[in-house]
Amino acid sequence: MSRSLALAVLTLANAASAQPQVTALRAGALVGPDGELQTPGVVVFRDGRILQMGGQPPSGAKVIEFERAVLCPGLIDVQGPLGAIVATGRYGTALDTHLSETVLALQPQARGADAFDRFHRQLRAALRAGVTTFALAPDDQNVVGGRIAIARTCGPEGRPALLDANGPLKLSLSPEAFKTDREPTSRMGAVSMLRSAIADAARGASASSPGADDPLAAFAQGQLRGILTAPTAPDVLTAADLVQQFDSKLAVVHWHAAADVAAQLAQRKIGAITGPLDLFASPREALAPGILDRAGVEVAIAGGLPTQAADSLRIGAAIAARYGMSLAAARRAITLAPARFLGVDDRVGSLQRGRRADVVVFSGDPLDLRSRVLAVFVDGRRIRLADHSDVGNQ
Amino acid sequence: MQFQSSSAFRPCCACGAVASLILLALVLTWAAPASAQMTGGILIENAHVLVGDGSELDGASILIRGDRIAQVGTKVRAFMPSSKIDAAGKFITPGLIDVWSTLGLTDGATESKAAGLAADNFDPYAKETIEAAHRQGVTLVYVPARATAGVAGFGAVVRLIPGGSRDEIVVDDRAGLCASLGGAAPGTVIGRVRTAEQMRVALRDALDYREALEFYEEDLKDYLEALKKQSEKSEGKDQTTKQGDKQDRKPRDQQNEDEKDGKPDGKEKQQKKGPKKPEKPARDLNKEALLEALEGRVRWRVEAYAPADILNALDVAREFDLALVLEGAAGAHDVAGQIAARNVPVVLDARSAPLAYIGGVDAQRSPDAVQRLLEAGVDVYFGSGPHDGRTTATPHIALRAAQAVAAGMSADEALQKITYEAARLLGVDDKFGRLKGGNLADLVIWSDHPFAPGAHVERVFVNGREVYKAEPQQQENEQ
Repeated sequence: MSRSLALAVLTLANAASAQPQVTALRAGALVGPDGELQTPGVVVFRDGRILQMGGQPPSGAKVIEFERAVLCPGLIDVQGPLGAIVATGRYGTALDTHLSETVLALQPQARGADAFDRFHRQLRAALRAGVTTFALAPDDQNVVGGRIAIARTCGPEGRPALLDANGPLKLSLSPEAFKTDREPTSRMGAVSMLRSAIADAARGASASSPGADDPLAAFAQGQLRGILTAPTAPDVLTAADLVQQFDSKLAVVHWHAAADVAAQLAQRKIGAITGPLDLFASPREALAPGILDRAGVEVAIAGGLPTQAADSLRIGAAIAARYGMSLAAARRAITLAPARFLGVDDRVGSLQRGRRADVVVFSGDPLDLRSRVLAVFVDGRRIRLADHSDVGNQ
Repeated sequence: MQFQSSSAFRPCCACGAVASLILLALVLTWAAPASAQMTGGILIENAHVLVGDGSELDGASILIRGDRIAQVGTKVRAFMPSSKIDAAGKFITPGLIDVWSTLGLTDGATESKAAGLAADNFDPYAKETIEAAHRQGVTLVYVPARATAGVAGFGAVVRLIPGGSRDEIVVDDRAGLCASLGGAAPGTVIGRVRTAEQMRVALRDALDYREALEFYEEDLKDYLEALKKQSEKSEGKDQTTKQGDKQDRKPRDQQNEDEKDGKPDGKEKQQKKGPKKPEKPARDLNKEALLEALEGRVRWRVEAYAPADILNALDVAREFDLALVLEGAAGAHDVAGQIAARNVPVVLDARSAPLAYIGGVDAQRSPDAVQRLLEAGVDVYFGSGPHDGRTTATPHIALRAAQAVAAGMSADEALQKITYEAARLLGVDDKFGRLKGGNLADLVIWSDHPFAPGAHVERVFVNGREVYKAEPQQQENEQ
């Protein structure tokens, strides 16, 4: 009798341990999907996925209290090629950008994922600052640069890992793409090349990469998002034209003439990527996010990691907020907006049910630079912040 | 610190203050019709006033008259102010002070001389840059003279008045003597040794120059006396010369020569040759500039970007008893204990530690620098520093101070470090850095506490005049 009871207890205990632990974080407030601070600041997760945002922790959940802190989705750098820009050379005298390709102007098949050094210590430093997801985008040297990879500073095994190796397509009309030893050599040439490449792909006869899985064709048909570097106002108008002609989903990297093009971007539902904004940022740079946001454009602020400081995303958002961007939009600009531009908002970027449990606990509003990072959870696992092994490393 | 170029506004404020006092007495006694001096002024009401010295006043008013703050407090009495500003829900701070900025400087690091003036290099017509600073609440900056290495010249304290005359803008054109320990080209050990040694040689030369001048003065005195005696002698009076007791005042070189030659003293020579007019050492403005620092009249501000350079700067300052201020100071956290032990203030620049860098200065930076300096007890200040490689030098000083709060500084102290304490560091705390009656009317109206998220500057007054007003768009946007 007693033996069977003991067995039953044992079985129950086994069943309980097989069922993953439900964890609840309780704080003063949380950053909602709209970017507003909302209460109660409760996030419940199990097995690395968020079960519940707001409300009360379910009974039986392990509750971790953070009192008056603010729970924020893991920060996302929409242009932060961590582990792909590293100092090299015997004395660390050159900064190698592994995402810089300068020979072929059209290379839709290139993958940012292939430039990723997941073992680099930069990733750990970014993680400590609350950056959980970032994009490895081919740089601006080519008109069609290739596929952007989306990666995480901490993956399932506690190591950095890719979230999506085949993210949006990177396009560029930047002067960096104009060369003297190959086409295009001018803006006119670049636009012409981009148009015809997309048109060719749309007709299913891409010269560069015949086949069904042509990223340009997918972009032209609106199945694959694109991110276009468009420094000047005419570049943005070209982008608007493309979106109209083909049914593409696009975000532009632009801040130079924000006031001039904001209405165009809003009308065509083209997102805008601004920043990075550092502590020397000019009013022109710093005003752009607010101007675009007020015009109805979805705005992301890039952190520019790893060539900027680890907390560059928060500094950028804090500066944008000082120059007239609403606080909610500024919080969104470093969480949900970049997730949407990268096409991963179903997995990261907000604390909604079903998303990965990436939570940064700030001692106050993340936009308040007086706030400190108190804790970082990635996939529901708490990161050891005291590990300073990354400090002082490249 | 001295206040040399303040003459421009000193007379007018002095008579203004006196006149105000007399008139105040008149008004209070007889309620006589107030003159133009007494009425008028700008009254800012219902504000939350952050005085700058750590104190706060809620529901307070500030009366500006002319270029001065006339009254601050909860019971300000103003007679017929010419304009009123309702600042309910707003915060007011003194104009923020950037204690190290290259804003408005027309060029970067150059080979300059110790006697050079940064004030000559400041461009008051850099209106966009000045407006960008106003937008961040900054009204006063210290601009350095810069050189790639060695002594560069005098830094200046300037007020940000767009298009202002030199008399208006330059508060102190000798606010600090600037030197650099290879800041622009941090590098080889040989360069480091040479720069520190060159600095010592320059300082020693300046001391020698002073000594030579002192000896000259003595010799001149002796010479004049000798001349006098000679003329008395020639008049027929018999008198013994008393040169012997003055022998010890002769320049060292001459003394040595005398000893070598085995001559008993200079008496014979003097008697033989008669009084010889001493030669005045050629005037050397660069050495005189160094003497300003050596005699403690100006601070010795050294730009350094590596722990080894910082230690060299500490040593040089100790050897020559200089009032050192460290600027830039990348890597200071690694020698924080030594800096704290010598009570040397550190002005950090606005560059933060990038995750990827190509050696050089950035290799010395750490995201935890401020925290580690504070833990060691170092007196930390926030300047913008050189904006080399950037087109603008917007001083986001309030954000820097807010970051320091995250690193462990109290919010009160952080605010003082960009107002009153900053003014003290620059030696201009008698007129700037605090909202108090008699100080110059440089103040900022903020939408919120300057450290709060989304806080922005709504209006800026410099010298009692409004120099910046936010566009309505931005004011509407506040939350």
